[in-house]
Amino acid sequence: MRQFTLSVAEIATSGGQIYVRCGGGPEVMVTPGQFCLARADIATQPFLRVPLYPFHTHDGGLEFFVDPAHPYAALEPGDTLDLVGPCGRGFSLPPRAAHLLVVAGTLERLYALAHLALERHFSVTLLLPPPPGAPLPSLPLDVEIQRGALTADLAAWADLIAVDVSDPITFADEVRRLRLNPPPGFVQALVTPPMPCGVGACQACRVEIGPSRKRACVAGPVFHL
Amino acid sequence: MIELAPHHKRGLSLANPVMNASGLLGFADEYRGLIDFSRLGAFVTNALTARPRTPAHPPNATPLPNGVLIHTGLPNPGVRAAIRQYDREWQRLGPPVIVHLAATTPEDVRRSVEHLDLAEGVSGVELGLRDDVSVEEMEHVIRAALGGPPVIVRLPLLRAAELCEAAARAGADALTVGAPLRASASPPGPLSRSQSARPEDGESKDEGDGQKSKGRFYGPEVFPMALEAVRAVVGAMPASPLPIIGAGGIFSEENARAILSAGAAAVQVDAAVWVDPGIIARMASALLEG
Repeated sequence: MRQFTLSVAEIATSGGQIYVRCGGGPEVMVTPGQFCLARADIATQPFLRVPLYPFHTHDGGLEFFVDPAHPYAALEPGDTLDLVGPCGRGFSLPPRAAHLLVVAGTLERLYALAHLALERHFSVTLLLPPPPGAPLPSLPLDVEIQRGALTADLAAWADLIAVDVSDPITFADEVRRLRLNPPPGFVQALVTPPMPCGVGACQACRVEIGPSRKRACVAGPVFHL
Repeated sequence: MIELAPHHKRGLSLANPVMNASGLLGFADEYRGLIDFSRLGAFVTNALTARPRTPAHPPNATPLPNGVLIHTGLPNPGVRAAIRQYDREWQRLGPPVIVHLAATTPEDVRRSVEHLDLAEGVSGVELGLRDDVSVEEMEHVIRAALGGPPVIVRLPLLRAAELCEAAARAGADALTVGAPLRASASPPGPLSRSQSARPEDGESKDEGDGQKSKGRFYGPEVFPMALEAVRAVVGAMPASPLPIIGAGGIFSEENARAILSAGAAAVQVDAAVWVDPGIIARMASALLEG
């Protein structure tokens, strides 16, 4: 955990999302699912720091995607990001796994995981929510895209399901209904309440996981369900 | 050096006038690597209670355009477990450690202070009061807290001038002015201050008021009220002035200087440390340089 600054080097639109590449700072190792809390000197900066889910850190840089409605969609090359991180616990890819199913409305926060899985020669499928008739987005990754509800076939195909949905507990229950005896860590959910401090100090990011209320910024934001 | 308990046998000396507010930096060194603790005038812990407390139901934080509402339920392991868990870290931390104790009953406060008095890493106790505490209740819990480390009483911000003299008469060594405001909001709409909900141990409860979020409000807008409250308390105690710690919406060195110029001996920085963890150290250096 450290505080560091990066400079925005490149902004681009890719797959319907805003791609941001930053550099000029220290080398930071970030596991997919871990986050950095960012602050930028721009008009759209909210009061609290903004969680970013970066990927592909190299040579003192990091990259991330944001939705066009995200406050950092307004970043421009040359802007400076003040970052605290990496925070929390990320995803873990089982060593003998080969099939990753990503269930999310957008790849914004799970892009890093999909990217790493492809580097490790996983087959990656992105399952988007309905409606089934809507056009599928293009993605800057070699990812198969499906739309609709989780099926028994998909649950059987996957070695790991990474989830970024509003109700991951209900989703995990559905997975257990469709697949008997899933291996440990089969469903890994990114849970992202507001995280004011990012270090477990403020106690304000508690989420109900099983019988307890855990701090998402230190026990998560990735939880094994 | 700044003396926050000049009439207490142990005293409570600070190397500089800048500390964190309770609830911001955790119970011990959660911010290690991000904050140089040796630069704090004092470290104030998250709230402790005599018995363990579980967290409030989520959501516990509501981001707003002008700040954030926080409602945690004051989760903590209880005083005795906290001492076992953190006292060694408190001793190593560097600055004086002030344990924030949520005032529940006089008996709980008395027992908690007895335990804290035996903790080597504890230099002071900050007593947190309910916003709607009566003068009589306040006097009882303050008297129950005496006999151990110096006692700082954190007054409700909007009632600080009303309560300060009684707190001084009851034996407080210093006053914090004051506790974060309780408020409600329907994001992203405007904020409204709530004076009606009866809190428990200093934290508000969700009373099912539609979709409104409730909690303690942190943001720069609190600063003018904090400055006014410090001035009012200084004006209300000309005969027996206690050291005052000004708190609420302090986001800059200028804010801190204004609070100190109004008569406070020290300041507490709250949500500014979430936004900028280095602010306390920079503020302390600037104030020491004059």
